[in-house]
Amino acid sequence: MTVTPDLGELAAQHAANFRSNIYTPTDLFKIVNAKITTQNEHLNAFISIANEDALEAAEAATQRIKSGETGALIGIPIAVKDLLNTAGQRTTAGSKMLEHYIPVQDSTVVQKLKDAGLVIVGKTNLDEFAMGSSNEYSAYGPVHNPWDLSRVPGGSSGGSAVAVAARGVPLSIGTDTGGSIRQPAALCGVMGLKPTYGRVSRFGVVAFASSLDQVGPFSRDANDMADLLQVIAGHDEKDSTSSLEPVPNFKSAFNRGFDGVKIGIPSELLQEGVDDDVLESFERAIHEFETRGAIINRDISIPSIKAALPVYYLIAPSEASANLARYDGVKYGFSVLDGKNAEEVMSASRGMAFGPEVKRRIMIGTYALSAGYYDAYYLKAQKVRTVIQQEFATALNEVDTILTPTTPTTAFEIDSKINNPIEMYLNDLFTLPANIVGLPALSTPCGFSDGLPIGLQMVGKAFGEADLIGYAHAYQSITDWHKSEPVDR
Amino acid sequence: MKISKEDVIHVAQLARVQLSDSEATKLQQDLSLIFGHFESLNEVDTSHVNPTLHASGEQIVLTSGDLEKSHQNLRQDKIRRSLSPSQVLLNAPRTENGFIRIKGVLD
Repeated sequence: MTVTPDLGELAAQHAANFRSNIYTPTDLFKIVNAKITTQNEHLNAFISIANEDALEAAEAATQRIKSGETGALIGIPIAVKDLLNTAGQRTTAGSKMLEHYIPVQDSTVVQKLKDAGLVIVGKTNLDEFAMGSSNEYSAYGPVHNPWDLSRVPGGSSGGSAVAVAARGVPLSIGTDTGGSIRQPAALCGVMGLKPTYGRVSRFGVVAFASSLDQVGPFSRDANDMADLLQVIAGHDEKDSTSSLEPVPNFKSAFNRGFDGVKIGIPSELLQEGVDDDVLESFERAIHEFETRGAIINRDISIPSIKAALPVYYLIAPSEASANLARYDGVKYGFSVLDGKNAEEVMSASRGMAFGPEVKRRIMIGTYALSAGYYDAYYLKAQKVRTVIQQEFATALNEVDTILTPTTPTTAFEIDSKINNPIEMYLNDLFTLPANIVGLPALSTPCGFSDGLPIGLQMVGKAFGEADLIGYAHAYQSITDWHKSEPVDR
Repeated sequence: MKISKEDVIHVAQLARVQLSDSEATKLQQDLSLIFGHFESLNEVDTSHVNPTLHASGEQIVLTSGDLEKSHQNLRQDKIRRSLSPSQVLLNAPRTENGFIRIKGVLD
């Protein structure tokens, strides 16, 4: 090692440094491991930090570089949300239910990361079973926002966002069911992408709401994001909902700029409940696009978009209540030892091991699906979902992308919303429509308010991730918001 | 929307989640509030639409008229290795002689 690796570098720069033999993946891994171990004492971004396995992976990557292999991300350290199965390495889903769960096989995304030579340095903290918008619902304690330790990082992929924001790793993996990648990306000042439903395999990802869940990348710039999405995207025969749509080159729109790009703004969504500073940053970003040739359309309308919130909070808990039925204390997971019969053991185990938000959602879902209520709630929500899909399709016939702020506010104080579920759910107002309609959506930093980051969300056409990453690339070439970093935490 | 505590206890039994008395009280309040917000769905006219069956509208599930086209979506029918018994039992809380042991189903 002639130079100590700088953790402020992007993945692409580390890769270039490996090839110039300035340092090796093994050198970089050791620095990353030490840094995230130290940071974890105050950030709590990781539930487990990998040692021997990760060191072996780093050494294997070092050999691959030496032998001249050219994969873009060989040897790059990455953090993975503790919702994706890692063979032989504990996967908790942020729950006491899976505190000691050791998967016997890798999720497809983890397998792809390993095949591409990435080094998984740890499993990141999250809201229990990915249910939450603040990371306060983890059974392993809250994650702290590196921009202000008294504030939440967002959720549910809070640990993955913080790991990248605090410069522990250049890349991480999260999952997004209603904004769980984009919302923490916005609150932590990094990039996050929810791909089109079906773009990335869900095999081996602990299921929350199967018609909404999607795995996606966190990064600090568009170039790194394109490289990571390139690794994880594509059809998987182990997931029948993964799409057969061909995987394009995700950097194919990097030279396009904004000239003639048609941008739609759903003005009806911005009329209330959005902080002034957030709106101001959003309008400034729109102005940047406009001065560089984009055509701004403020008349697009998605009349039913406000129904997205109740639709989401019916569909997601309903699917969750069915998915979480598998945690019965029999096959795996927490189990009480005593009980009169099998049913009592099951109820007691679930009562003890599930946290308050998971119980609340199981109850919402079970109630909504129970006899006599199915038509009024779940079926009605699935019909309104169709209406919202039709409205988005109409809007995206007129424009190339729909822009909103990613969140209505910046990061809030830990404990400030925990007792008010409705207020907590309102955080996801701008992000959850993309899950309901299955479209890709990206968040990139676009400003600050009182030292806290603000995110800009772009929603694209189905399988249009390359366009979104291209717009973000163009935006990042004329602004520096994505380069700001928190004081060394 | 008023949900009674008896409703909450009944639904908790259906979901096999044991609740303390204070949890049931809190959930009664939360569910009443949350289901009250769901009433706004009735403002959307859905008399002429079908419920969503797939998030991005892609045809993956087999339908009878679609067999030919669907074949390309299906994986080949060939024998492959499945998990070993020891892998399957690795995470089970109680095992005995290669089986999972549970409490009696009937009292």
